[in-house]
Amino acid sequence: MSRHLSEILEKLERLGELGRFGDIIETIRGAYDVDHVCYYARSLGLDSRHMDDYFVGSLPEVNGQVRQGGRMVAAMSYSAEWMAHYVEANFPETDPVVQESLVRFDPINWSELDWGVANKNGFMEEAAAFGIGNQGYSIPVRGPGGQFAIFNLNKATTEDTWAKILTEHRTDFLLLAHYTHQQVLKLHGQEHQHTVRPLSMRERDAVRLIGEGMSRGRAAEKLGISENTFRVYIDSARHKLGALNIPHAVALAAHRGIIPPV
Amino acid sequence: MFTLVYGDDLYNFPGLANEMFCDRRTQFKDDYGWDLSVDDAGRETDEYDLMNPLYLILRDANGVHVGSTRLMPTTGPTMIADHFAHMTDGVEIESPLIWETTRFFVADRGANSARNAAALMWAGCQFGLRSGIEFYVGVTGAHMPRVFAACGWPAEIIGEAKDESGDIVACLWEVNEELADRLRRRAHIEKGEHSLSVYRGPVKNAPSGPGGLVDMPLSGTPTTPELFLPALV
Repeated sequence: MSRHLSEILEKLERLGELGRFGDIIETIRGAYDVDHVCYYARSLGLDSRHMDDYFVGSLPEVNGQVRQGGRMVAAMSYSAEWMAHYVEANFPETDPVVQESLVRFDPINWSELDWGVANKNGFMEEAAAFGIGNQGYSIPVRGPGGQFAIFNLNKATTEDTWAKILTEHRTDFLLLAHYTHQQVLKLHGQEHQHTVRPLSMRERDAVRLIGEGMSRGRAAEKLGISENTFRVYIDSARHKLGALNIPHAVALAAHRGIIPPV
Repeated sequence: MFTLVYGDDLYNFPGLANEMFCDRRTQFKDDYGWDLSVDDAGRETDEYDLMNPLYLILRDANGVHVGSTRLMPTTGPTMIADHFAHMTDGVEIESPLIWETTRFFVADRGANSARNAAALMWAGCQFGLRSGIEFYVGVTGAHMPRVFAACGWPAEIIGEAKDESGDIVACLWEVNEELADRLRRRAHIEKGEHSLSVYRGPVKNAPSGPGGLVDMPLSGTPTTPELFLPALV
């Protein structure tokens, strides 16, 4: 899984600051060869006074037009025309992606959804006309204080091809959904107030040992735990640090002074 | 047959929900002696049942509850992080790649219980694969790992403790194709026999509003606000 993730991080580093999440969307789109990537947050769990409309897209045609939503944070590769139409035609009311994501935490393959009601209003057909893929995957993201976001990827392809893509990349997609959300929170300066549980001693030790170049097996042995336990601890640390993979977690921990500089 | 249903949709399965919560009382409170709260109807529920968990339920040919477990992402509140972090070296386990399983129950009646246990585990493993996760974690009685191993999905014990209910263990299960396949064969389930799709409730009434993304309810059913809020954490 991590080859793509490393590439994404490298690309983002070349682009400069990690907080530019329009770039994240575009980089993910390129790395996995999907037609579209869309992140939107209904709530960041913030005090509403600090929550201005915020819409970011990295494509030239995606601009700040879709702002009437209010208190919505979104970054997507969809065109502004599609977004405007989507809103105007009241599609969110029947869009099963929105409806299901609101009440689930497990990722959703679009082919498992019931599109009947939405399609009465010509939803799929119109979406396709705007270049939205017929196959998609949606990952609900929830966090403290009522945070709620959805991360979507889609592509015009067959159900079988999409199933293969998911088999190969679904764990990456899960990581990217949460990573994107964490970057949005960071951009809003919310990271520390709302989202991050501090690393325990054990998690710090795990990150430090990997940072010292130790293998997972050796580091686990050193801490007197099994390799799988080590994987769980270091993955918890990775998530809490807001990192996309383990080397990234080590770099962030060193940068923040949580472990000695590597 | 399997039923995957979120807590907020459970009201669509009143009989099944009743059986599940009563069976939980019998096993976890009556048999294991855990200190759990039970309502007047004899149902065991706790605060996590109010946080819209996903129930994975196995029913026999007559539709009767014969096995179930409760799944929650560790990015939200979990028993293992909230109450048992001392069992995991102080690590509050939290990752989108790790889910918690609690209240693992298989009816101890009839000749099919071993097969049912394998079937329930297969469904958990398969659904985990389908969702892209890598591990399940969960805290349970110290006698349970033997049962898990006998059913074909050994748990790794990552922590041990003693509390008022006796010896307890923090367990870790890896999710992978090989295990799912092994469990499937043990449960005599054919490839593609079960779809494991999550129950979709009646279409929720999403309020309109620009973007449709604003001020939508996060749940189709009313829940006590103070108890519902943590569900979003």
